[in-house]
Amino acid sequence: MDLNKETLHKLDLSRLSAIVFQLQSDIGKASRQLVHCLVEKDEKLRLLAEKEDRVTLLLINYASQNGLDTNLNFKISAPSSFSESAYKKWLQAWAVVSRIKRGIPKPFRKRVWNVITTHSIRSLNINFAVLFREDRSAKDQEWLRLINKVSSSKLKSKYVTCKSVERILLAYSRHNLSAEFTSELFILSSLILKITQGNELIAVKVLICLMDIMLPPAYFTQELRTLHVELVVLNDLLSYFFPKLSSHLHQLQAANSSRVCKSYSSSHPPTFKDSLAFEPPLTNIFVLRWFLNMFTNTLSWKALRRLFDAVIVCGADMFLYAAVSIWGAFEKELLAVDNVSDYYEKVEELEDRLKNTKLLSSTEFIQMVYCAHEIAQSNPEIPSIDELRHKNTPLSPQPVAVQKISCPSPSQDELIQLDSTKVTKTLELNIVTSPSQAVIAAKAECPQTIKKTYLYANAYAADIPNDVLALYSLNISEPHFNMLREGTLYTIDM
Amino acid sequence: MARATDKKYDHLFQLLLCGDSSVGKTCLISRFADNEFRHTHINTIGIDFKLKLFTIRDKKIRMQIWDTAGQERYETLTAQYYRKAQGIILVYDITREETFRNVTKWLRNIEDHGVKGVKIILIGNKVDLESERKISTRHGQKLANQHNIKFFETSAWKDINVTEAFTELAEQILAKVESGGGRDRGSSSIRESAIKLHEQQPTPATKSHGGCCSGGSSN
Repeated sequence: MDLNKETLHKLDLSRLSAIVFQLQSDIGKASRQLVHCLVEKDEKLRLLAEKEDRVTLLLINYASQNGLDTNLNFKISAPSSFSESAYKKWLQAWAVVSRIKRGIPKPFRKRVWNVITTHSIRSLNINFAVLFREDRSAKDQEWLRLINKVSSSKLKSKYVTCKSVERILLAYSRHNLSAEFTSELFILSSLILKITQGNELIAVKVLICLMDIMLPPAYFTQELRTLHVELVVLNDLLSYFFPKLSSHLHQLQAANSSRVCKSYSSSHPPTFKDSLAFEPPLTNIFVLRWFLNMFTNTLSWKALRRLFDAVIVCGADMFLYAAVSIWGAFEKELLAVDNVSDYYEKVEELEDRLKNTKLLSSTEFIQMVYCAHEIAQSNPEIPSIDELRHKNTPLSPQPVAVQKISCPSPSQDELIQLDSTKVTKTLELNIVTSPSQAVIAAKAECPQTIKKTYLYANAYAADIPNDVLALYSLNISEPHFNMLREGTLYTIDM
Repeated sequence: MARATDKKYDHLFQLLLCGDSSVGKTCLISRFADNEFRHTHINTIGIDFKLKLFTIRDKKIRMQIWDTAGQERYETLTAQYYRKAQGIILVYDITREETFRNVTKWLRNIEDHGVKGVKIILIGNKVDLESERKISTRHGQKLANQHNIKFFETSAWKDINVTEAFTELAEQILAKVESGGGRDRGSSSIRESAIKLHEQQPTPATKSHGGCCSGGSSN
């Protein structure tokens, strides 16, 4: 019955009493149901807190066994107070989870990414409604034109449509007014959208966080100056982590280039015969492709998702450690290659095997990345990435890629020893810089233990207590958890 | 795909494709190496390469084909690889005038960064889009004649003249190599080859096949 004022006026007293009685009965029933649900909710939250505490203990145990920071507190949702210390403990817990064998469980990925990126960009006071507005300015139209120019089927999925990529790229361009559109930005946006399963708000937060906070400034600009520095930094890191491979690649490059070095001068330009002999630094072509494509052409989908977890949780340096790890995975086979032509084909073959997880599993690969990160953090002999970037960033406006460098032309014995004192003959070649000579010199002194630790670290990382997998037994799906948290798990039927 | 361990070939040739963005360089390579054509693909980023085993005059040729990105921002990077190439294919799009105008710029890049005597051919791609043609065959041929290089008009989509263009370039390189202008690598290591090269006496350059300007097979 529709109980409005007019209807009620027409009813007699007994009828009205019956209605009042029925209403009081329904309210009482609903109240009891509500109390029951709230008690049940509290009980479930208590159980959840217990399980979270149990996971916290397991994670602390795992962290302490593996030399990681144990100051952590595992919670599925973001800490309510959001004090800096509570956040740090929450983040460290997820950093440890991301490192364990199975990584961040899929139902929690978006939640974790959302909390971290929201925290990182909180001081920017971004109005997302403005970023996602429907009207289009002239600048928006220009971005749309460029987006459609590079639009590719390569990254499309049920979560990644042209329209959704357009929306998040426009939102990013409205946030960062000086941003330049590049195909790499398109690839990165599509990839983030795919990992966040089409959640555009989280995708934009991740994009802003990566481009404006985590990655070095001007990472994907037209000039690629920053990426050229990253190539040199990577080569430096490689010489610390895999000195044998680094030295071998230099030998291959130098063996090819030395002949040209000896015969080059301004009066004798390179000849047809030299075409097979000139050699840019061997890792550059591949590493640049990995960075520009955000590893989409090199890693399996699972490894890629986990690498992005690592980046979001631990920082963008993880991209460099991923590159170091790929070379580590290639080392054994590349050491058997004795000439440059075969080298290029071999790396292509190895990339293919890595992508298809025929070289090593996604889990093994990601463990290598974490080990590289931890070794770099704990070993004082390895300079920090910031130091390496600073050292290799040219002061002059001239791009790094064309700065004039020393080109060694060592003898066979010298090549084996790679004695830095011999690396003094210079030749002005406009080539992308190879690892700085200081690093080549330093790597001779770099203890082999770094590499051994790296390999053994991989072994211990795989040995994870099964109890940590209790995390997966929480059996709470994300929508389920949202309802639980918001108290809407049970609908009250009046 | 041929692997690095395959050693059964007589010569290793390194080819490079250059030209403006979106003229069809990657599609030409895909057509030649894999007989494939993709209507949609993302612009080449940086530099890529493909391998093709190929037989000319009973000689097994292993071709490493370097595919450079046409965008200006990659020029610093791609310029490094010009010096590795024995043959360069310069591509423009017959439907886009500016890509033809830029041929001169690309030729200058080759001159600046490539090796002396590198074999070059000019390709006007996308002849399947005849109705949108902006550059006539005569204009393409004239420019090729001016620079004393061979000229082809191709369609990677319809598979017109693609193999012919690559074959012509390989023939020119082979002729140069066999006349002593280049080096036969075969299965020997770079180091061994390098030693051999130092021992070689300079030989007079033979008449270049590329000197003929009659146009490979312009339509």
